[in-house]
Amino acid sequence: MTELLRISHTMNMDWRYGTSWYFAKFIRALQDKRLILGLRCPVCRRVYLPPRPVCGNCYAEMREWVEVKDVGTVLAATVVHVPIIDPLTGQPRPSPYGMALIQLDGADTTLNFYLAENDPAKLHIGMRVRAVWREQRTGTLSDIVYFKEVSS
Amino acid sequence: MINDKTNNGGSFVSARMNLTFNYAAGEAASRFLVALRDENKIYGTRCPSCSRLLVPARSFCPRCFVDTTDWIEVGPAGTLVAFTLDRSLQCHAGAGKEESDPGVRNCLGLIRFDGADTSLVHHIGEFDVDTLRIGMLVAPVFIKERNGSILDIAYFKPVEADNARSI
Repeated sequence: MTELLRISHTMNMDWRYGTSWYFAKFIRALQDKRLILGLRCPVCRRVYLPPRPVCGNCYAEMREWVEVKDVGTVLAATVVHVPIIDPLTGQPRPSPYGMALIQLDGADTTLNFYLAENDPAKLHIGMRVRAVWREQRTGTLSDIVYFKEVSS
Repeated sequence: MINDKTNNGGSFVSARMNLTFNYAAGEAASRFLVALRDENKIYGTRCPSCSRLLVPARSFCPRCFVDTTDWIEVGPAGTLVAFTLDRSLQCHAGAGKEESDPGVRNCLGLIRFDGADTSLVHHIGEFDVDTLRIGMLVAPVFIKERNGSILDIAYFKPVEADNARSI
């Protein structure tokens, strides 16, 4: 009988991509000022977060920056048990972890982000959460560690 | 990490994804890799229907869909039938390299062993860019610590015809 082998290998994929002006401004405000910036549509007045250059409803170009709070409301939440690879580190993110669509105060769209809480019994739609910022910020989305429930 | 300015007022964002694979090699690939690991030997299998010698060894012929029968040793030296040079081969599977050295020209080649009807893909090393040619003879350079992996051969290097043994 042949000795049966397993084949293990790790493929390290590094890449960099060019952001356009709007994402660069967004990420620099995060890093330098702990500010979360959205873009407001001049037609429908909706505030997009994360920012995008053109309104999805009106097809209008957006140039007006709006400061958004780092506190918001959970509109949907889940607990992830599959250790999906985090592109910010290249490593599988320790699971389980909570994820949510969060509408920050001042924004009209939701941000897809990590939650501090990973117990589904403690997650509910409508819960209020606040960003936990990293002390040493490096200009990535992970300058926000996760969102944590605001104790009322 | 955000760095460098682009010409449209943006920046570059760096990202990384390390994909870890672990899969059963199966009977044919296991036998092939064990022979490589323990005996420095490269094996192919013959299709009883079309008589092609498949290298690396496979359990069945993908053209005839019949099980292969005979295990036949080939090499160790073979003919370079195609190659490509890459200045920035970042995706270096299993070789334990974090990133490629920008000064190194990585080369991937297709190696056809005498008697074989298919070619083996492997790294080509210790080559001179100016003299690398299709048709040249290449021989495997084995690593010392064996893992039972195709990378127990570090790479194939160009050799003279009278020196066509494994190194």
